[in-house]
Amino acid sequence: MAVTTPCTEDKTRNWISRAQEGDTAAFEQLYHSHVGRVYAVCLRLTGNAATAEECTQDAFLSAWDHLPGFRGESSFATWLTRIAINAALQRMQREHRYLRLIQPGDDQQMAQQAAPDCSPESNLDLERLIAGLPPAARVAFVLHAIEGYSHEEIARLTGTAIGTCKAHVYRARQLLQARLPA
Amino acid sequence: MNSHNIDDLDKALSRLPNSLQPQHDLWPGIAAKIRIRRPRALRRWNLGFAAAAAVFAAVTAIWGIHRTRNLNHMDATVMVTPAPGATPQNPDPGMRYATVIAADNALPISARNALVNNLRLLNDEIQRTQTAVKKYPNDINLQALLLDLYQQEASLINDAQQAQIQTQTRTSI
Repeated sequence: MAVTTPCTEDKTRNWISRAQEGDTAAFEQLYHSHVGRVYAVCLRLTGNAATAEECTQDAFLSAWDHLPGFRGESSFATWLTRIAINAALQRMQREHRYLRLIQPGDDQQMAQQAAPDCSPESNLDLERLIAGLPPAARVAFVLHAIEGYSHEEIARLTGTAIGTCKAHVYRARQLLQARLPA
Repeated sequence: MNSHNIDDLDKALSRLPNSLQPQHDLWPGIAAKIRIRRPRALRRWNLGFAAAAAVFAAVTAIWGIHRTRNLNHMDATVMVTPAPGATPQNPDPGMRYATVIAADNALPISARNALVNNLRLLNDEIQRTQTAVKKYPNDINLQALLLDLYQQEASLINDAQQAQIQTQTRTSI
């Protein structure tokens, strides 16, 4: 996410108020300043670049629709990230990719799965490993370990039990640690 | 798993970038979909306008029906009496019209009596207020009250004319 300064905050506020009135040029500015953050969340949740791009589009369209209701109670970036997470989860649920539980063969499958198209190179291995996690574990892990969501929030978002969510995160950590280069 | 690996994983996670750029510029697709949808401001305005227009139409229709029924079904208990302040040389417009209504055989007697009585009551109030305005010419409230009474009288005469027209139309049909 871009570094936030008072100047950029003022600009963002201005863009938001103009976009709330229907100004698409202002919304385009919001898009350019936040697309990296939204795409990163979508890519890590879905583990697939093409799906992440579709989710990013869904998220910005949903943001456009719901922008008049944005009251600034949280930051715009936080609000938009929440929309992006919902968009990604909805798409994954539609495509039946998410609901599968971790299976015994997942360790081998992890090594065979295609890596996401991402950079920089220093983080490529970890991004690749996260993308290779089983979907349910990846969602729980990304939301908990990267986005900072609590198990309760994740359980509510994904419609699973809190215990199941904890088990997914634990299993994902085990899988990643086993493959992380020493 | 050991603590060394846990530390390594957490350190690696903390180094992950918050922002990743998609391979394609997604804005053209988003802009096209936004353009297909109707502009939000216009959409909201249209909905609000349509709702307001519907409410206004409904209220106007109900009010009109109610007023017409009241004029046609008023109780026949009032008697026509001349206005106390009216003189043959200078009758007020309301009372002048009251005599026209009183002579109109097309209207039901109860409606005629009710209209004339209301006009008389209004005329009394107008005369009293006129006297007060003469006494206190700078009192804005009195002037506003007098204006309001004139408007009520005009409205009542208008209603009476409408009732006469409707009655004549029904009779001719």
